[in-house]
Amino acid sequence: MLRDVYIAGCGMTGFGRAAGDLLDILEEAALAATEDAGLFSEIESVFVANMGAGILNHMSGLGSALVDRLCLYPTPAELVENGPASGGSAAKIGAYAVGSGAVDVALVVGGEKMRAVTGWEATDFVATLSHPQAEYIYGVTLPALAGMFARLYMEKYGITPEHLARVALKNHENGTKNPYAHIQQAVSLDGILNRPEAVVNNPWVAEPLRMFDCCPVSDGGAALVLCSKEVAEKTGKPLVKISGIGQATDTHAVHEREDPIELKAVQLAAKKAFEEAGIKPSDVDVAELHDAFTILEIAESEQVGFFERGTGHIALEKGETSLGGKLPINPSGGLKARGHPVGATGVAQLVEIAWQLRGDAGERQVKNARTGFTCNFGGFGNNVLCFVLEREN
Amino acid sequence: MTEISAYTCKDCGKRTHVRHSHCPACKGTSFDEAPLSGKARLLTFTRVHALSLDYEDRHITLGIVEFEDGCRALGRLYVDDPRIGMELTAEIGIVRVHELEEVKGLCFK
Repeated sequence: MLRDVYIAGCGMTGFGRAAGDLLDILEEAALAATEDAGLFSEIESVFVANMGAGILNHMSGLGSALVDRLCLYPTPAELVENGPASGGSAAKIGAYAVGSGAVDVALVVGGEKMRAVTGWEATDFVATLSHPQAEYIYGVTLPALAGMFARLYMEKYGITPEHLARVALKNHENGTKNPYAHIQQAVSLDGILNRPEAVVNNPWVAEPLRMFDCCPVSDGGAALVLCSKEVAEKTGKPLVKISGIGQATDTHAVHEREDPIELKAVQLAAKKAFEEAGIKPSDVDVAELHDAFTILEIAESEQVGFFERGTGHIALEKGETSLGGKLPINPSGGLKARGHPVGATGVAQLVEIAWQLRGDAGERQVKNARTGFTCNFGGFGNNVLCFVLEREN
Repeated sequence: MTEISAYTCKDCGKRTHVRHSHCPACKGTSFDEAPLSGKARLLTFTRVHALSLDYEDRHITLGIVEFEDGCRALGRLYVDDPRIGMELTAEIGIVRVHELEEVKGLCFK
């Protein structure tokens, strides 16, 4: 980028089931971020991230709709759709708009209203991102793709159902400290795995994955105000810089990958983000990874470079990724507990890291966090965005 | 539909089930199309319990296989005790009934 880009404002709605419609969600998140930044009329461009309004809510043209709701016209606005990585993509495009010098202030808003339909309809909607002839026609769902991935990953590296459950335990525990989280309830190994009644509490979804290995279906929105350094300094807030952005794609159909458990887009996006920021994975203090399924947190923690291959579950077991550990992962509760309104997730990850770096994360604050990382995983790993954020002052 | 195709790159011989404009191996642009059939090895699988209303079954099994020529595909598995590495035979069959229409695809037995 030609110049540095900063996060001047962050906002979120409570994730879960929203009373209002999708536009209400986008409005609430946008106003929270603009109020946080103290910038509103200064906004020169609006980027809305959403995956499924056309299917789920019978709505389109969300960029224009939000600008109208906020009476921000004639500010340019558009909708960015990149599956579950829509939020990361909108943030990237917003950052590039500021970084190129085209605008000084951009508003990025991600939102989704998924609970307008039944759970199955929401699952089927997400499954439409799979390959139409080679995957979707067979009844493939994202949990099914994750199940096949998990079976291979677990067999290769000795990961047990207990390791997967421990991701859920950690992230649910973190979710209890996040007032915006969809699920603010801790779970126990006995309750979801060990006791006989666990098979009722935690039924199979796509073997070897059970319900508590999967994120919930959520409504929610998140927003960021991005700006130049000159504008950020005037806000009087701690300076949080977007110091690295990486994006990469991979095959649409998972079976076409040379090794189905190699998440090449994750590896490449992370590498590019770290290189752009000029830091190493070991420099990161706090991370938000895309744990749509518990296995993905373990796999991503290795494939972005935090842990050696095959040791992510051991770091988890030792508590290294818990709050208070060496590298807390998903202090927000992650997709597992904060929830996964697909278009909002990439933005929500950045909001959480910005709050962590500003020291605004409340009970779940990671001490002395100066450098943060996000991984927003689109498709089943076929379009991935990673960000490095750093606190400057 | 009585057959499912695979595409063989005329330049390097790479065979894929998914149709591409460019070969994923050599970027070649000419392909021979031929039916995908024969024996295949199971690479991974899952038994899916959360199913759409299209299915009367309590669960279905999906798997990814590799054919003897290296071509890979996903399909329905019709074996009682699937194991990674087991040999399967591909057939074309009904994989789903969607809005009263039969959808045909790869079935592995």
